Amino acid sequence: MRLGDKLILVSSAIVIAVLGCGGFLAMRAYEDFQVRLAKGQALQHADVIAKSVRYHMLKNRRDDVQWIIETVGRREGLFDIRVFNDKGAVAYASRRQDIGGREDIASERCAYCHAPGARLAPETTTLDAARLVTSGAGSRQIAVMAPIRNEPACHGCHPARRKVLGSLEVIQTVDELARQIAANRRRSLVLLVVLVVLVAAAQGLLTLHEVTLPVGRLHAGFDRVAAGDLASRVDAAGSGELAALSRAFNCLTGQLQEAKARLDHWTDELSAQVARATGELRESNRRLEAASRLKSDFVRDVSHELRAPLGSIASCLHAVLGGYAADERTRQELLERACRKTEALTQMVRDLLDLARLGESGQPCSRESVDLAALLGRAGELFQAKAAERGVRLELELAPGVPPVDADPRDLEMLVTNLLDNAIKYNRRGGRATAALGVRDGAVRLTVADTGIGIAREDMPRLFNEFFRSEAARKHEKEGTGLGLSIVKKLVDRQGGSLSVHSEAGVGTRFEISFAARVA
Amino acid sequence: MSESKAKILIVDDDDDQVAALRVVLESRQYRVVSASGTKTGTEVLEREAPDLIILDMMMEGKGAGFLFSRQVRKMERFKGIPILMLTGMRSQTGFSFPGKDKDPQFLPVDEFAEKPLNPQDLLRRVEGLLAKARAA
Repeated sequence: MRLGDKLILVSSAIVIAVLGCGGFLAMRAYEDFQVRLAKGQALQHADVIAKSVRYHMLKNRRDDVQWIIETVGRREGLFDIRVFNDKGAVAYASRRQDIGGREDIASERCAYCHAPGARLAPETTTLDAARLVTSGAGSRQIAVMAPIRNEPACHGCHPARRKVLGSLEVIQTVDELARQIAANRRRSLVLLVVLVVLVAAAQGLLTLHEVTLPVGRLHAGFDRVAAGDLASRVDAAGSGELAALSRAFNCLTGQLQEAKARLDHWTDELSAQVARATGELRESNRRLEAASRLKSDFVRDVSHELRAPLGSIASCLHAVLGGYAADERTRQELLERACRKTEALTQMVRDLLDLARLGESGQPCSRESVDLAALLGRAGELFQAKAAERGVRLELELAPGVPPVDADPRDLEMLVTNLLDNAIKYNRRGGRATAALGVRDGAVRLTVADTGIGIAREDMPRLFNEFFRSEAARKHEKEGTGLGLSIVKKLVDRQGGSLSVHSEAGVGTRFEISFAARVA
Repeated sequence: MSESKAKILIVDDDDDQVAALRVVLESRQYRVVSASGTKTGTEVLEREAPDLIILDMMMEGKGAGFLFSRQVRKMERFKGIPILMLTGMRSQTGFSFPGKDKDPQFLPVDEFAEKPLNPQDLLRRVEGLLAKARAA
């Protein structure tokens, strides 16, 4: 059962109880008042009759007494007037046929004077003397019973020892009054019912308007919020507690909506971050896998590159040791081949170690101020002999005032050595190898150019791969590890420089390397 | 003495290897011609018409010998020429060609030899292959 319904029921019950009780009490009071009025009238009648009877008795006019009683009875429309003597017999009556009859002295009517041990009946003027009774025929009557006292004036005819000479009874029919009261009761009841219905309806409507509907609206609002509709608001007009509750509800849902919006925002943000992180992880994983693949490729390549020359060396030595060489010159040649191959192998192992050292990310790399011009000068001197041997002109072009760079001097030395070695090795007889040092756009730029075999366009992407040697390079220079440019690339990367290659097959190659100048 | 006059073509890009093989083979009076790549290999093959080919599998770092052997088998003149394949492949990678005995189409060579091959072994295999070819 809903709260509003309960409220309506309970308040209706209270209204009915209060109005019913109040109406009933008021009705009873009114009825009582009416009865008392009727009783007073009856007493007045009784008093007049008693006085009249006394007067005529004292005048000793007994017949007149009967006449008065009859007359008064008729005139006033009284139901019955009877005078009893002290034996309880009817001495006079408004209806003559009643005279001589006896009244049962134990009956209620005569209790005033005849009941054993009865107190003396009150004066006829007190309301207690009048009682409301119901006749044998069902008629409502007011009966007044008054004693006829033995007073000194009566002693002439009646002995003085008796206190009461008889009693007077006046009975007045109050059926009309009873009817009025009943009718009044019905009217009052109808009025009361109408009033109760009206009041109950009014307060039902009030409850409906003030409680049931707002509570229903709030309930619906909560249901909508529970269903996820945080934009839901309820009508909060008015000033009562429920209006305040509605306002609080609206405030709460507003805050919820705001919090939800913030939460959604952060959720989106977080999802985006997770997606980004996942993407980065995936990318990093892909790179790791690629690196791992590269590593195993590298190991396979290394084993092949080491094994093949070792196989040749072994073959040469077997041929010599087995005595297969036809003559001393052949034997000598095979041994020389084995020796050269061994040197090449040694160079390759050295390069591999350099490469491995450069590949180790944890490897410390010192940072010093390096005068690249001086370094280049020294390297140039060292390579002059090799250049001359191969018929290559080695030239250094050192611009003045080249600032020092911040780098590891051993790395730079290795870099320059590798580049100059290539420039001479893959050159043609009568060609030129140039190492130039200058400043451009605030960076120190080292350029090593040759007029050698160049690099085919299709070989460019693999130029810096380990063990990669172009067809032309293999043809041109038998000995070579295919590691030199890998080392160059790693060195430049490690020193934070940038590297570019320009080459044309058959014309020559130019390597350009830039380093940031050392900040003073 | 036809055996001693057999002509052997060595196809290998490593001339030290070629030199060593040549010394060993010439000590048994084989005539030796050589080529340093598949392209010159084909030229020399057609020009010299050898009796046997010794082929380096991982020539030019890419297994060009493998392709060369198939190329040779496609040539009408040299369909039946014995081929001795030298390789470091198996011991390097643990990889052995699937069904190389059963499927001559896949790797159409007559013998496999692991590098480095000792001279006695080489001569024994060469003699074996030549004898088989003569018998055929």
